[in-house]
Formats: sequence, structure tokens, C-alpha cells
Amino acid sequence: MARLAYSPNQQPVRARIAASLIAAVSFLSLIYSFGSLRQTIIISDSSPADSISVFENRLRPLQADLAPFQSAGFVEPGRPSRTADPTDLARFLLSQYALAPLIIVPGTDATVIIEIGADGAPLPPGSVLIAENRFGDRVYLREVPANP
Amino acid sequence: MILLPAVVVPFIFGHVLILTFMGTDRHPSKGLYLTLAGVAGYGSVSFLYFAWRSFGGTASWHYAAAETLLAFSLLFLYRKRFPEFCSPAKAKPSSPMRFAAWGGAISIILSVALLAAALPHGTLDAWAIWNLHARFLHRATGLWWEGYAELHPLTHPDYPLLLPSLIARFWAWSGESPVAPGLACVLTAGALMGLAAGFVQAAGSRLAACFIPLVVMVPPMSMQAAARIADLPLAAYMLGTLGLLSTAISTRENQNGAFAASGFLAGCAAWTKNEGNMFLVVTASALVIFLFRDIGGKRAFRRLALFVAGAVPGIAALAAFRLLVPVGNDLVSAATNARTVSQIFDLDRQIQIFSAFISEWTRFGWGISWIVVLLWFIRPSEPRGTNLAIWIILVMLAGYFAAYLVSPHDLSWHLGTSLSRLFCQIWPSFAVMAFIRHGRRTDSTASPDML
Repeated sequence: MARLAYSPNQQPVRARIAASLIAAVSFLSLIYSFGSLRQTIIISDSSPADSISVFENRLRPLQADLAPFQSAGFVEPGRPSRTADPTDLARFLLSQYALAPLIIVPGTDATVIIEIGADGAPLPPGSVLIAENRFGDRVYLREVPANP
Repeated sequence: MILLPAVVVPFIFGHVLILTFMGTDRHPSKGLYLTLAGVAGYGSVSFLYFAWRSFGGTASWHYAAAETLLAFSLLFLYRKRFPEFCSPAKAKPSSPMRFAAWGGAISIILSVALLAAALPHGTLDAWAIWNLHARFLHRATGLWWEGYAELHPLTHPDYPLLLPSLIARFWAWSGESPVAPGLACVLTAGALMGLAAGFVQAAGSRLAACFIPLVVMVPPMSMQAAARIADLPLAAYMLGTLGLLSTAISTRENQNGAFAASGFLAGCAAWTKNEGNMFLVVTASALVIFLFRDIGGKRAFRRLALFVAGAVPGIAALAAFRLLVPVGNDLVSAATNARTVSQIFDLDRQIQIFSAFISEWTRFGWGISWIVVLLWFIRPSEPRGTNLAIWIILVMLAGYFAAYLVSPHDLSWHLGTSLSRLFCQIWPSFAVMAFIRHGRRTDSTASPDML
């Protein structure tokens, strides 16, 4: 490799081969990237935005009601754990991402509980529905009285 | 438009830092100087923003105004100091070669930007860890760390904050949007290519300097860059540290300044990821052995002290973060003594990890990785500085191996989700050092006072 260093006498053949290789790799790299972007655009044709932004929009109306609280419980089918179904885990993490700096705690041990797609899930007695997502997409916020 | 000054201002901090560390004499090239200034500058504004928020500053234009004022005050103080660059090389690569090299670099940047556009929030690790942490820094109206330690362990609240702090800083300038993390990943890709080309060119391998950005940014690297995770910023800080150390040791010039600057970059690495903590400790330990064996006495002590002094901002930020957010690492907190000991001596486990290392290395570099390994076995022309670097890289690899050995998680899951990212951290340094090793710094085409 020491002889890779450029010298004017070596210019024509080696430099042209090198330039061609760089151009070829760059071209392939661009084609690959355009392919990825095109794939994404095709997928996003069926929905107005990427799935994360859609989920964030779904939870956005809850933010005003959650502002006074530092943490909230979280109920949905499945619990976040390493062995949980990836979809459920992703939903929990997405909720945390969307509602930060609120701390989301799995389960019902909290003053307020966010309920997503968990119709019929067991909730503490006396909990009250205090808000519902305006898009009506099975997103609820329940408050648990201090002394039920 | 507001993003443009947000991108430029860190370069002013970096310019001041590099001048402070390395003085005005004998900088290798404008490209390498600019890249080093950018890398150091973004590290410094990450420290600044973290300090601003931790001392109660608001996430608003107030920070942008204060940062700009500080930057231009420093620029005014340094107005009469400009770096001196080495004389232009007598022989430059041909125009088609340079055209191809620039075309290649621009196409990679475009590729990363396109891939980033396809993933507005990045991959799961990006939004669930790094962007989430950035949102705490940006959105919290009170103390940002209140409740932060209670974040779910899967969101890794123990991870250092260089990248989240940088993203939150962009948001303080321009408002919260996915553009800032995307911009950070494009800048990181540019920094990696700039550092790689700059160090290789400084070593005298001008044709190789045209190639090295493509070697460093193999497709898995571009994908990881677009994923908006912290492994590539860490890779840039590791490359900056090792590049500065190896060139300074090889040329024996401006070593004091290079040791201080590399200490600063190693501190930034420690502030980026937990693996960066290990990198800082391994590099400092390797320097102790190298300096006291080869130089000894007061000079060795002085250079080591300069390296540590350079790392102080990173160590201080990390210490403050650990005090504010006292959360253990999942690998450590979930491990038990009996199970850890049994795992260490489990031969099947060792073989599984070793096999995963080999197969991932092959897959990761699309075959180029093994060619670069071969370069290390060809007799070098500049071995001294790169010997130190390769020992550091090998110890880092051994550290990764040990982490998998004692990991409390399912081994297949752990290897499958993290090994490629670990290789992303060391690949740029490994490849660049292999090319520097075969540079011809003293040949007729290279300036004798290069670096």
C-alpha cells in the first residue's frame, strides 16, 4: 500500500482506475439510497405521515391534561419487557417518546392512567375518564382519586 | 435559515479550541483543520448546552443569543491568530481523481441525507433513547433531570448526553423538529469522511486520501449514520483522538498540543456513550505505558497531564450527569456474581461470541474489512503512532468481547442488536490507521513539515 501514494508519473492508469472505482461505488450508493427513499414514499402513500408522527398526533391532545403531572400509568394489551411482543413494546416506548418529559410507568399504580387500545382492561376502582382523544382512537386518560 | 448560524457557530468554538491547544504553526491542511474544529466545536457546545440547562437556563432563543455572543467574543480575542498551513503539495492527484473523490464524498452525504429523510425520527434506538433524552433537555420547564432517573430501563437513562444535548441545542435555536437530528447525522458523516481523508493525506498517501472516505463510509456505516444513533459521533471522536495521537507520535512535532487536543476529543467520546468511557480509560492507560516506556521522566508526565487536562470538560460533564441521574448500567445492575463467573468460563458462549465477531466483521465491511486487516500485516513505513492506536483498538475489541461474556441478557439477542453498532465505532479508526501506517510522509511528494 505504500506505493498507493500518488506520483505524477503514475497518473494516467492508476488514477483513472481509482476514479472509476470511486464513481462506481458512489453511483451504487446513491441508487441504493434513492431506492430506500422511494420505498418509504410508496409506503407513506397509504398514510399521511410516518407511523411515529401519526402516533404522536394521536396522543398530542392529552398533553395539556397531563401537564400538571410528573408521571402517569400506562395500560395496554401486554407489558413492556424484553420478551414482550415488539408491537406492544414499541407502543409503550412511543408513548414515552411522545409525552416526554412526563414519565410513563407500566401498569395502574399512578394518579393518572393512560389507556391505549385496552378496552376492558382492569382499572382501579373509582377511576374516572377525564379526557378522550379527539380523534376517538381508543386513547383514554383516567384519573384515580386519592382515596377511592 | 436559523439553522445556518446554529451549524456555523460551533466551528468558531472549535477554531478557538484547536488554536488554544495546538497553536498557529504547522497545521496539516485546511480540510483537516476545519473538520477538527467542527468536531471539537460540536463537543464544546454540547458541554455548554448541558451546563446551561443544568444551571437553570431556559431552552429558548436566550441560549442561542448567549452562545453567539460568547462565540464572537472569543473570535474577537483570537482575531489576530490564524493557523499556518503546510505548503501545498508539489504533486496533487489529477483533476478527474479529485473530481471523483469530491463526487464520492458528496454522493455519500446525499445518500445519508436521503436515508435520513426516509426515517424522519430515526430507528427505534434513535427515538426511544437519544431523541427522547433530548426532549427531556428541551421540553422540561423545571429541572430537566427531575424524574429522568425513573425512565424505563429500556430507554437507558444512564447513557451520556453529548448527542441529546446537541439535538436539544439545535431545537433551542430553531424549534423542535426531526430536522435537527437529521442534520446531526449528516454532519457526523461529513466529519468522519473529513477526518479520514485529512489524516491519510497528512500521512502522505494522497491517492489513498481520495479513497478513504468510501472505505470508511461503507453502506452499513451510511445506514447507521442515517439511523441517528450515537455510535457514529462516538466513532468520529475516537478517530479524532487516535488520528491526532498517531500523527503527533510519528512526526514528533507539536506533541504537547496534539496530546491536549486528543484528550479533549477523548473526553467528548466519554460524554457520547458508555463505550466512550471505556475508550477514555483504555487510551489513558495505553498512553501511560507508551509514554513512560518510550520517553519517560518529566516529558512523559507532562504529556499525560496535558491529555488528562484536555479530557477534563468531558469528565466533568459526565461526573455532573452521574450525580444528577444516579442510574446503574443495565449490564452491571442485572448481573449476579455466580452467573457472571459461570458465563466467563463457558466455552460455548465464548465460541458463539467469537463466531459472531467473525461473521459480523465479514458482513459489515462487504469484504473490504478483511482487506484492511491484511494491510496491518504488510510491513509498514510509519508504524510508531499506529502501533499505539491498534493496541487501543484491540483492547476495545477485547472489552466488547468481555461485555458480551458477562452480559445478563439473552446472548443471541444482545449480539444481534448491538454488534454491528460496536463495529461502527471502531471501523473508521481501524481503517484510517491501516492507511496511515503505509503513508509516505517523508517521500518527495510530501511536505517534510507535514503535521
